[in-house]
Amino acid sequence: MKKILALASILTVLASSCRKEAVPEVYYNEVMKLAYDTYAGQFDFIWKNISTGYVFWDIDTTNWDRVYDECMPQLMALDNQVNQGQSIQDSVLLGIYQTAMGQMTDHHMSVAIKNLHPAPGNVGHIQVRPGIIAMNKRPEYIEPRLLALLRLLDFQENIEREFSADKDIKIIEHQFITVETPENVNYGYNLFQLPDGRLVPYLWQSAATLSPVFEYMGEDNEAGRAAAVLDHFFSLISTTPREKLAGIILDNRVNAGGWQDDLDYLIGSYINEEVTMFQTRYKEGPGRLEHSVWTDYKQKPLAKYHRDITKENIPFIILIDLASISMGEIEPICARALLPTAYIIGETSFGATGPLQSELVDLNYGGSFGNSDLSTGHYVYTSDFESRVGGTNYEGKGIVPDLEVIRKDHGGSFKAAIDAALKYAGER
Amino acid sequence: MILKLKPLLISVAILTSSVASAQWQVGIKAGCGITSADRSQSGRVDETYSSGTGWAAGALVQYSFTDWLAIRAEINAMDRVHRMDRNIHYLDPVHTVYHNTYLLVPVLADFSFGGKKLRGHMYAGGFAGYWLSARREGTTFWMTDYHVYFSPFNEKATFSDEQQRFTAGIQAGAGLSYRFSERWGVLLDAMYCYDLVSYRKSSPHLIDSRYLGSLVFTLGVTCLLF
Repeated sequence: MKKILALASILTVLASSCRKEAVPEVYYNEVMKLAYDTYAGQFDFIWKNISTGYVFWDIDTTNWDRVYDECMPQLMALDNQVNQGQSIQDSVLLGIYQTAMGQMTDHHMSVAIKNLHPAPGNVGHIQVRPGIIAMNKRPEYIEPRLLALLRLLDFQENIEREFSADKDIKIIEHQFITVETPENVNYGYNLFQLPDGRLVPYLWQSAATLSPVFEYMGEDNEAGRAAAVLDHFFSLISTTPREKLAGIILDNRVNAGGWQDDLDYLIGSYINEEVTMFQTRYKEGPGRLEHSVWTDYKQKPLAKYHRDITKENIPFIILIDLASISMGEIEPICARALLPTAYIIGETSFGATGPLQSELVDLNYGGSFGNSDLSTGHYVYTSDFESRVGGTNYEGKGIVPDLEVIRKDHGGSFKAAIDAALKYAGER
Repeated sequence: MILKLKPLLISVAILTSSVASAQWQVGIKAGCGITSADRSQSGRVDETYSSGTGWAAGALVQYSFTDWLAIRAEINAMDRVHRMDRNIHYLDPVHTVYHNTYLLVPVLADFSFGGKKLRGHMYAGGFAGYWLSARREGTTFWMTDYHVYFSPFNEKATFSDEQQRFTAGIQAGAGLSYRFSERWGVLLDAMYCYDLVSYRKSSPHLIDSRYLGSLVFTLGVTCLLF
């Protein structure tokens, strides 16, 4: 018996040696200081963390292993140059990283890299943003996003002048608000009156920050005044008699995104019972296709500004463009899925729909890693969650409007989409 | 030439005499298995992995060479269950129980000892198998800007290219049998299935091997055929 047990022990030891040991991966943000001193080490670290934590490997067609095989020799060549006393141009590093990561599906993604040995006169860091690269290649692209925002701000501030020549449409209320705290956001509120006398409340928001701004309601500051205007907008929608209300316009053009809780106001106000708005899932392990189950993201009705716009057949028109990002496009996606009277006008949106909770890196071991000040040598901003609405994943694609109004086709005018929205409301 | 063949002929004669006493036996058995996953945490420091219990059932056919040595082949289906729990304080309820149904085909040597009715058994051999289906249940989470919500789930899982559905390993165990008639008997087995094939494939730059191991207890009924 002893011999059998001894034999069994030997066999067990032999068998366990047949198992291949796993190689533990560094997880996100675990490294809080520079953990490498070579370009190859930097790339290896970033590549591995994206390999294990990126949430879109199920839909992203990037051949990530080939990226490693093709880019690593180039980065090792840069290390050789450094060893020979040379410095590295930012543009060279940018070229390698753009080839590696410039086509990725996550349109939230930003890969910021510290140039470890920058050439004199270089900034010393680079940034790759696949969403911006994709946007700039689109046929409807006119100008950089920041320039579009500046032009839209001017348009919103002077919207009465823009409509002064329009004899049929009147702007009977107008507010242009800039808020810096708690969030940097601009609002353009207008109350349009159609030729038949019916009203169309209109709100443009440069970011999705309704929920934090509403927290300032009643305070004597810019956010408090903005909250009062927002309260007026939503109250007007909930209380104006149906015969006087032609429709609602939410303008999300050049909207940078923001808070998920804004859906309480923009969707919750118009539903009668709790609904599943979309589904989310996250990475459950380091395998690229190792995801959690899809989980319902639910929305409760909001009583304060409630109105059954479906029953009353009130058009809810949302304007979007190629610079409507994240919540700026998730709002119209959810509206289309849940509110039958939703109608979307403009351009196909940016395509960044995966929710982010970048402050909570331990939550699911996915998403952003590194520090935005590049003290770790890198900062990779990427989604924590994947989302889908009605089975459709809009990441990298954006939402296609019901009525296409391309700004480029109208000489860059922001007014054409509003005209189309007012026409749509007037016909209903 | 004839002289050289003599030892061989003697050996064949001995073996033949053994075979003459050989018996075929078949049986069915059922029970439960305790499965654990041997895996790296891959840096996921607030996760703990623990064993789980699932059902097991199968059939066996056994051929006895002597009264102390037999060879046995089995075909078993087994729900190999293990569990993952999150420990980070705001995700305490989050857990997943993985139910992985395997078809396992072991071939074992059965060394037995004891009397005619009650006998003890020691088994050693190997198995090959196939991962038939996967299901996972537990509690997951979703979150808004300020709140984390928990949601139960129980769903069939789909296989991806990252999963290795073929498995093989070594198996050993012990058992007790009791023959209560010329033909019929009962069999109580405890077996350990030690997988040597990772159920996740490694990729060129990520080695994340994970192995299952199952301790299986079954009670069976056996029948001597001839």
